[in-house]
Amino acid sequence: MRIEIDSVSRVFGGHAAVDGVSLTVGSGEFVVLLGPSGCGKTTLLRLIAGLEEPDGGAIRLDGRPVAGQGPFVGPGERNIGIVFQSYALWPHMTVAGNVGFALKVRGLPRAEREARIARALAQVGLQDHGRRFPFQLSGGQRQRVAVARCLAMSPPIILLDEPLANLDPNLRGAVLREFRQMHRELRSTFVYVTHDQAEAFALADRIAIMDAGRVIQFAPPREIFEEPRTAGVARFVGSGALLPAELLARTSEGRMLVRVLGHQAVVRCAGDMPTGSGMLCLKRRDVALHRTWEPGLIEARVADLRYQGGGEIAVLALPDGQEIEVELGRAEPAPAMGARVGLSARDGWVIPGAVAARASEAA
Amino acid sequence: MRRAGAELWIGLAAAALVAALSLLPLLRLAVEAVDPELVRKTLSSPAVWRALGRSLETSLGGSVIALLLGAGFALAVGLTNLPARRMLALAVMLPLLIPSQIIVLAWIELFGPATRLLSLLGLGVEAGTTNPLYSAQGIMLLLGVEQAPIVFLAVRAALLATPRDLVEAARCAGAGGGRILGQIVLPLTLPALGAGFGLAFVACLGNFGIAALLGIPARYATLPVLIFQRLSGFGTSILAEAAVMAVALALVAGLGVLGVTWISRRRDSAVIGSASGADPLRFDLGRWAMPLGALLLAAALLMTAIPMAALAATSVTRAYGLALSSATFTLDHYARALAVPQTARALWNSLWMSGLSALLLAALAIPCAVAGLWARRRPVRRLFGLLGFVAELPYALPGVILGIAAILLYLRPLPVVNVTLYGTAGLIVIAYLARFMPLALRPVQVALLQVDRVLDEAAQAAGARYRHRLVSVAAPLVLPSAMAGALVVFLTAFNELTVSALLWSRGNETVGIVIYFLEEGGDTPGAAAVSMICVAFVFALAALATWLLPAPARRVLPWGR
Repeated sequence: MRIEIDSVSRVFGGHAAVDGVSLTVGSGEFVVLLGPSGCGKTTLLRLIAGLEEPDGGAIRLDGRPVAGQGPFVGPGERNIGIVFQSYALWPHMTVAGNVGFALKVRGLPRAEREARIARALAQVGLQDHGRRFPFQLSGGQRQRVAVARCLAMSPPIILLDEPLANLDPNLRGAVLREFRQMHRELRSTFVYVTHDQAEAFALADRIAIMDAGRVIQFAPPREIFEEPRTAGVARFVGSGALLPAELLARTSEGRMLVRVLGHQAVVRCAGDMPTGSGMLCLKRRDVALHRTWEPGLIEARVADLRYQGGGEIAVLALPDGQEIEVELGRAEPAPAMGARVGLSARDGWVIPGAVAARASEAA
Repeated sequence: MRRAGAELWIGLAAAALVAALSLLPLLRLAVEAVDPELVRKTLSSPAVWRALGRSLETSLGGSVIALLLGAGFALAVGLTNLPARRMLALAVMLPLLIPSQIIVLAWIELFGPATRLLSLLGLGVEAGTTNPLYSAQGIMLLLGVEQAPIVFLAVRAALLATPRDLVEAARCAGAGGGRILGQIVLPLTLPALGAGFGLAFVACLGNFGIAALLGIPARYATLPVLIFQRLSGFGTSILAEAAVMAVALALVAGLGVLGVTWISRRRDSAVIGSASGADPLRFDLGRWAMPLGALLLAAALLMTAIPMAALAATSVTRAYGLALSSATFTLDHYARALAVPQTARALWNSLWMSGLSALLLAALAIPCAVAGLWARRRPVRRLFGLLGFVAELPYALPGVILGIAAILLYLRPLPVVNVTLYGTAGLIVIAYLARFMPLALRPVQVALLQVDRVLDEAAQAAGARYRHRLVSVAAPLVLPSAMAGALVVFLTAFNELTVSALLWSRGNETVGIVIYFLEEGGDTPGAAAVSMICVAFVFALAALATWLLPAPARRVLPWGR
């Protein structure tokens, strides 16, 4: 089922928790809402669920208006399944009672209800736990019950609000894999809220990065990582350096000659990137280390050295105080602590939002 | 091992103190009542069985009424959009601050000749007929009114503790308001309903003021009243029989206490998820909100505020039975009541006895709580856990049990010092200390449990000795809660009647006793005047303290949440 969010806002006491967000989630897509706490991602999820009513804008499910146009459609009539961060299992009902509650509300006959409860519990590997009460289960089992309760209705839209936040860290990897498999099998539309990048990149078809109630980039994980639209996204998703650069000339489609800290390099950029001044994003694998500095290279000092993941990592301090990490080749002897070295850029990405921001500042 | 010395010494002193105050009287009572011949003799009396039956009957009736009133108001305040919900909640909780003997007086006035309330309702009581409150039904009604706040608070707390997610999950499953109420919210408040009912039942069993003031004129004696009548009539010669009756009452009440404990344990283990601190549902009553709100507020005011107004009117009306007007207004009853040396003495006695008890208990609660909760050795913590349960008993069980136990223990001169406490103010203070210890200890324990133990360990690492840590780390952190606990002790003890009724002697009257005897002696306006003085004093003190106490400690007060 397709979800269309059309300039939706939600205001709490004068503060816009969600501020004019527009987003279209395709049918069967897995979208992750990612951002720091307080960025509005959970409120956006609750707006989709119908647990909040928007103060402006409209929401449509498969073209049918559910909020903002015509009568408000409550959460019970939206055909959604939801997994809460706390799991929200009803403590006075058995596992089977929890899983079958929505089926009972909809008046399904007993036999069909039991079949669907059994199937949902089997899907999460809890076949034999139907008669237990939530307080008799472990944290991981409770999380599975919450997922089974959501699956029992086979909803076309599944909403998950930080479902791994209360889970033992060593269970998370396995659960992420199960979510991917579930998505492949069900072909339902998934909207998943998290503040954890690793979860987002592992799951999403597309990630919506949110900050201060707005979506600042909505793109597939690879694009978010390699072509961040703003400095904020770049800082949020990856360890790299953001350096002011002069954008000298376009060299070919999507490439540009830039000068950064006295060094000239050809890097990637957006197709319509104008020349002028801008911001360059350099990640670890974009730079090459030279044992000595010479003019034309970026000057850097070795600030720290550590061994990690089968190789030596040098942390280099740039003249403006920022740091960038470089992986040393296996055979290379490590440079001395404090040594002056040079850096050249093999690649990089010109942040498109930075120029826009400067242009608006100038205006 | 000098450090362990102080810890051991203070711990032992705290344990000995709790045992001496709470455990010793109850053991003495049990020893007295264990004689099979005596038990057979006491239980062969039909009057005892009749009184026990009446106690059960009125307590069950009273707690059912309390359940209906308390739960009804809690659901209305918690789950609807009625107007003036805060005011409604305060009106329901009003009986917490007014002792039962004064509420009874107020209700008698409400149905009395001067208010004409019943005439308005077409139930007019002709002059000379008996007030309908002097009956088993009257006792049940007033017990219900008196205990309604207990159920109200329990259900209100359960509603506020219901995680919002649980209701939202049901909404997402397509459940409507009625189904959410019936299948999610009410089942989750069921343990609170059970606990509230049990607490109200045990409190009704121990009630003396209502049962005596309404039951004695109707010749309808519950067990606490029968014990009181026998002791006043025959003196300490029937003390042994009274002990057996008290133990019988304790056994019934003990079942109630066990029931409440069991329900509370179950509830604690079942709740998953964090409390939202907000009400889980808000039913829109639409155009019914205003009329229904007015009706409920009127009902809540009828429980306490309107009867109190009737009592106030009686206290300033020239002659009993006249309607209040500018012609009949007088302050003579106040002047007359205060001119009686016994009344003035009783006010002073209640003031210093409850004040001393409150201060002593607050001071003792801190080392007792620290010795128990911060003990390093597991057996010590276990011992204090057990003592904590024992300390609850004199308060949880009917007051008459502690009264009889205290008489038995202190009737004869104390060994070694050769001082007799029976018949002195000292005995009343000791009984107050035992009875109200949980009111002081509980808030301090709760506050201490919220303090991270590492604060103490950091002071320990810095080289501070146990006594120093107790004074400079633990005490300042829990002091506001200890003060709030002391206030609750003072307000409760100031108007105490049940224990004082058994332990008072000439010169050692309390205000509760004076009001009771003024009313029993037929001086209703005098009783009304003294009652109004007490109520005004208690309300002023409660308001001042609520205003002065810091916010977290205010939560200790029942009306502070």
